[in-house]
Amino acid sequence: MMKQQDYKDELAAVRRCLDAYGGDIARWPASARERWGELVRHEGVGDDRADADAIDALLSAATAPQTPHDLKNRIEAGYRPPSDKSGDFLTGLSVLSGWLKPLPAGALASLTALGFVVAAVTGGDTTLPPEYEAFAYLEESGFAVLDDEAGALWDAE
Amino acid sequence: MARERESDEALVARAGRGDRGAASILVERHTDKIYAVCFRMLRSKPAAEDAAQETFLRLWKNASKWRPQGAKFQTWLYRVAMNICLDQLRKGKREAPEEAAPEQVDNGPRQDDQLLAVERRRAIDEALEALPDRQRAAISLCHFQEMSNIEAAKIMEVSVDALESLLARGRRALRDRLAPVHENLRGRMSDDETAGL
Repeated sequence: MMKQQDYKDELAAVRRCLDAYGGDIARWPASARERWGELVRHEGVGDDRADADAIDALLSAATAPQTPHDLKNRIEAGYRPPSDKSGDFLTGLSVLSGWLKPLPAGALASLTALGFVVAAVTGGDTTLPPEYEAFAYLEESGFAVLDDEAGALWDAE
Repeated sequence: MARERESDEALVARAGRGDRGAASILVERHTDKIYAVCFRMLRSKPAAEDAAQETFLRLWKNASKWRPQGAKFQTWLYRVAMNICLDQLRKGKREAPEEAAPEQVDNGPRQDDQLLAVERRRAIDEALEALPDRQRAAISLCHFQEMSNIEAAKIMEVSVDALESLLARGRRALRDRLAPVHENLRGRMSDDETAGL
């Protein structure tokens, strides 16, 4: 036989479920449904259930959003296949070689020397400018990046 | 046919490799749900459309880096959408909530009932809009999107207990705000029952 206190605790648990999930026990978590589903008809929680049912009915009467007919097309149009990085690099190289081809050997040698001078002056300074450092996280695993995108923006209430 | 049953995670991987067909299936599967949750949060069609589009843009941007570790894809997508909405609400970008389009009311004997239904719907929409953002989010996910408490809690990055508290507080706030409509509803239910006897 269930002790009086246990019984009160069980009814209190049913009230908590009615408060949070409403009067339709199909919406309750499976464990709560299994444990307290039958108690939902107990007269001790009758008022709570009536309230919960009424709020469910009100929520069901709220305006139902209708997806605009062209939204899916617009979203699909926003899809861009990822660019092929190696392809971009090779394309860049071929463009660069096209530019350099007409130059005489002396000019090429001068450009190379200029490159060494620039490297010597700025050598060792490998710090990324701040606007690029923000992308350093891309080195991390993919899901971490996605989680960062989702962000934790909830306010403490 | 086989593609329709393909998991979201596999589709994201394919979309990340440039498969437009996989992206198309993801759009077909998730747009309605994402738009619905954005609309319920922002209460404005243009703002909800923008938020839904932004959600998918972030998906396309990250699809090639997708690694199916931990959370389900759908949980992540909803979390992105929800955070975009909250960000908009926080920045005050939300446009004025839309006035519901005037509903056609017949001039028949049930005209009063129809007017009552229109007024009730408006009152409910306003009460939902007046809820604190997190309470509205919890009710949107659990009641309207019919998500499990565990998945909704993951999306909102709170514990299940905290989610239940948000739900209960939200529903109580709705009940208090809608008390006149609430009583009316009960009255109508009683009348109907009486009529049936």
